Amino acid sequence: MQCDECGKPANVHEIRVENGMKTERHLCSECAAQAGLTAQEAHVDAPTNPVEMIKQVLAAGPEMEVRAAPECPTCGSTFARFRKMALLGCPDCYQALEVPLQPLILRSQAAEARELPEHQGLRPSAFKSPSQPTKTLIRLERELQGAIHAEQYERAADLRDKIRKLNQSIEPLDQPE
Amino acid sequence: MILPFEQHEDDALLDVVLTSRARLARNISGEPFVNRANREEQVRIRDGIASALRGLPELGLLWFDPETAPSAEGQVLLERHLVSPKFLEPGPHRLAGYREDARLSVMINEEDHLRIQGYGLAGGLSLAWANAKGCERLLDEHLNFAFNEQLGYLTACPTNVGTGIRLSLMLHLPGISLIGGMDRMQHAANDLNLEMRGTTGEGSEAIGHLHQISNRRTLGVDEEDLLRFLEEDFLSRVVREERRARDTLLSTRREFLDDRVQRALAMLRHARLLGEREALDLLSELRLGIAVGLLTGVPLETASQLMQRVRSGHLTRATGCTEEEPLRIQRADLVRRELGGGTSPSHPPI
Repeated sequence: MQCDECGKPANVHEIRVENGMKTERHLCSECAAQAGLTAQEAHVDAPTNPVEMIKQVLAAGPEMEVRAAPECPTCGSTFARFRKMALLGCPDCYQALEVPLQPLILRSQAAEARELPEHQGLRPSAFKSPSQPTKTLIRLERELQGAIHAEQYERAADLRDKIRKLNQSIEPLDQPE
Repeated sequence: MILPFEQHEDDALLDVVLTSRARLARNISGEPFVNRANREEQVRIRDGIASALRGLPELGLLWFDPETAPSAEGQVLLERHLVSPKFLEPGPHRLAGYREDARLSVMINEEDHLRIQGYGLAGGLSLAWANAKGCERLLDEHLNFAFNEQLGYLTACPTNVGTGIRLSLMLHLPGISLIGGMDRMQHAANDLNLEMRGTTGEGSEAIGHLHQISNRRTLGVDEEDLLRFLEEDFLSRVVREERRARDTLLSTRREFLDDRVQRALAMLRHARLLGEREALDLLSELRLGIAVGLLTGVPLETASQLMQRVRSGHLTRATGCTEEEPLRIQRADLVRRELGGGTSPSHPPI
């Protein structure tokens, strides 16, 4: 992995989860020092393997877990609130709380299936179906979240690579000329 | 789009099926769900949906505002299943629209921003669905419903996500119940991912052998496929079983059955005070007697309608009574009148 700033090999990785939004920075030692990132607030690792990276995030202890607890960026609902009320706060909660929610939906909707079935039936007449690559991307990202949650790191790394590749291939098409 | 409000219903299943209902849950995109919306947002959502509905005079809706209307009116709508118990609870700013012929109703700001309900009688599940779908498609042109490719229509409770559909049938199952087959029936329904409840919805016991059956699954199953499964597969089986149970009772325990039916008729014709639950249980026996041919003088339709008219809300609307004791008298009077029982002189001769 290369440094976001100068392109040298990156060995300082920062992952922040705030208000349900995840941001990442990957820097080399020099740029990290310039950015004021110290070893205490960043994870300095020897391997640059993303699998190891995710492991470190997950192993970062209770404080990190609290920061990573999903919260809907639109309405602020948490999974704890859902558990109490059995109701979500807004349509965006489905995406924000997807990881803890998905097994519940699966259990109540399709106990025999291994993964969530896709919606069948009426749809809004104005709804435009996303293109095939976008659909695949959505599916892969969902699988990635699931893999991280299930601590399947090898699979997570694979999925991450696939997403990167697909992103690179569809981005030029989406750019306005 | 023409909604089939006037369409004639097939009454071949009237001996077992009382009513059919199709409900659709929808929410407005970009708005918080009702449980998370503040008063201002609730009003905005309510008025937005109401304005779209008011622009569709072909729906023929009457309006019910629980904040301003008398509570007796809400009780009648509840007994007609046009609104839910939750809708009448104090809380968010709500509004309901309904057709007087009870073929369609809408609830705004119940659990979801919008609940559309279509109704039919026996064998009317397709009709109920056609009414609900027709209304939804008309609104779809004016409102932007929360939806995503994978999960379909997004609802406040994930148990409704996808189609947001709940198809339900109100079944009269005294035969299966009397031969002790209800447990097996419950299990069969459960295995088929169907929910079985008593008369008035969630968790309630079955009064008058009335059971409500509805689908649980809403994601990944097309509405039309679900309808076909419920109507052609499930319902035909239940009707067959119920009729077989009634035949068995008639051939093996005719006196037992006849005794129950005649006792019920005698009580209904002569009682001077009738509670709601007692009346429903007796009318259930009466309905069974008519359906199997043990009673010929009373039409099945009369018994079915009485099961609705003896409910407290309906009686209150018809008579103005709200107190329990006078209501029991009114209920007994109504039933005697309809079933040709003895009159009730105010000063009986000694």
